[in-house]
Amino acid sequence: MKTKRLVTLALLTAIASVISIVENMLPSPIALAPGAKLGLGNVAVLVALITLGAVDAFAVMLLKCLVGAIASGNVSGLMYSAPSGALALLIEAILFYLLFDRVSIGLISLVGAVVFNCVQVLVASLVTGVNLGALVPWMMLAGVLAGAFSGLLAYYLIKKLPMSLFGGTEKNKNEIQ
Amino acid sequence: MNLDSIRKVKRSKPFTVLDGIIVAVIAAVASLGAWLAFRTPASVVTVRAPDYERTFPLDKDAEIPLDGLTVRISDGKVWVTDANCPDKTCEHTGKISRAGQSIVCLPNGVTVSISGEGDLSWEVG
Repeated sequence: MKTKRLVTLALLTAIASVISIVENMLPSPIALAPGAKLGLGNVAVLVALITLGAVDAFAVMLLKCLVGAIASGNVSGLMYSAPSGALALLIEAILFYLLFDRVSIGLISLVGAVVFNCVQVLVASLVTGVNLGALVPWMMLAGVLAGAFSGLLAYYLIKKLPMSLFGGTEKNKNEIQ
Repeated sequence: MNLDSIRKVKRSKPFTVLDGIIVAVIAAVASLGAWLAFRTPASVVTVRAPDYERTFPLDKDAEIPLDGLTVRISDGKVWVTDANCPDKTCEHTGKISRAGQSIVCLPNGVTVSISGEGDLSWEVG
């Protein structure tokens, strides 16, 4: 089912990129933190991780960062989003393969968002040369909220979409691989 | 398509017990970090005169009689009294309490300054 994988990958990348671009245009939901955003594009990355696997999810994530950065004209933003996104997704993938379903999809996304935000503070500290460690607790809190939200969104998306959409039957037998 | 993964997600619950434990750990780490970042840092008061230099803790009350003036530390604030100089600029500086602030008395050659980790205060800029 090579074509199906390719199409799904392209579709998820497009969705993630568009969400990312639109989010960049909107003002920050928190007045005190310009540039703070919900990171809804990660819903598409999570769906890619679940439906296609870790390698494809990495492709979606990196392309999302690249397209988002170019489209918003803020290419130096890649410095923040790419390493943070890569490490967050690595941890998410490890959790997904080792601990799911003892932990939920929501928690995997939550941990990923916390890691993402912490790495961003680290990169910002290195770039500006100022120790921004005092921001970490707030960034962790923001990650918990945003990550849990997008994780639950991805969870209910997968849960509620019919199995036939993914190319399988509702039962375990006779699936088209 | 990884149908097994999709089925597993469809069967899974929105929250688990382990979720709660991990969120509690993250909350504990964040709270500890916030506490470490925002507890009042210990500042010290450095008093310099022509043949004198000593540091005092800001949170301990003290009275330091020097040649021509007296430095007082009380309630986390530092100020100068009993200056014998005519302009009394040092007395007029008033009470200082934040890292980075200082009192200077040119006629007596005395400087009093507060230093500590709290330099990056909310007054930057």
